[in-house]
Amino acid sequence: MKTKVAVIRFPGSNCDHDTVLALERIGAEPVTLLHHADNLRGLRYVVLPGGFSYGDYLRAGALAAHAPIMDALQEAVERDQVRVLGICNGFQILCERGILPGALHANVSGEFRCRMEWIEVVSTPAAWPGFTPGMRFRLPIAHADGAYRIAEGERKTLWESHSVFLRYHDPVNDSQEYSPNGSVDAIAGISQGSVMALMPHPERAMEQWMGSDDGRRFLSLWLEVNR
Amino acid sequence: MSQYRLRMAVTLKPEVLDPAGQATQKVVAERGYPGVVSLRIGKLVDLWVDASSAEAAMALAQTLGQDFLANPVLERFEVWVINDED
Repeated sequence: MKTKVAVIRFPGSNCDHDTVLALERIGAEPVTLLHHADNLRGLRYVVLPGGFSYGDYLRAGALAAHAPIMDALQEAVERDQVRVLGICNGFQILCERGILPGALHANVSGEFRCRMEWIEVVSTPAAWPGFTPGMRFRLPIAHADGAYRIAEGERKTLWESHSVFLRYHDPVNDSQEYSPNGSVDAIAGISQGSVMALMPHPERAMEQWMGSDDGRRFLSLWLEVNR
Repeated sequence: MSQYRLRMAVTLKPEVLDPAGQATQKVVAERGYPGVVSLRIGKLVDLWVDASSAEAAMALAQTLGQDFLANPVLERFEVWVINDED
């Protein structure tokens, strides 16, 4: 039986359709839910896709974080440990909602960055044993506000609690300090409990002709299917 | 019930990099305006609030700032009552 996955569409989401196609490609059955829905229809997997939401007015993801569907999502995470994947704007929304710690701020370069990057798994999320440290993925980023920030006091806790899930990686210089957006500790993704989020777009790397098909591997690991 | 007008300034914390401010400052310097050593850009939010007192209106604005209008990781805010003539 195919695993059903909710894909949430906010006003301005524009990677929702790509995410649906990508999930179909790895054998899942995506179901698009709208921002004003007040429940997740009992689905156990949820993707907050990338793009924009509510024009990203106020701050990226700030208004979407208060949409009715986010009340339902937070409750489902706290009560049933529903598995959530936030991609790009989805990551920003989860941070703005306070489901994940920290915030995504304007890229240090001041530029919108759209290009392929390497990311590396730092620690295995408790809910996803398939992601192992050192595992690398080549995935595209496309964002203006991707610099991960966290209060100085909470940074240590973030590392100690193994919440730092993904970092950017520079294979040429094998650098641990490389970051395309100025994220603190080159953080590209965070994971806590049944929630994970990252700035790069796995759904945009599903075939070799797209520049990489590592997104297929990433999404399969998230969905815990063998492909 | 009276209506109060409040103004909230949301600014980036001093330690948070402001690429928009930096870019603007660079052009200001290039245009030859002297003496501008730093320039940072924030947001201004005007609120019209029905409340029983100025203190109540202020308390609501404080809550709004903490919960929603400012992101405590990156920003801080200040709110004050203003007169309609302002």
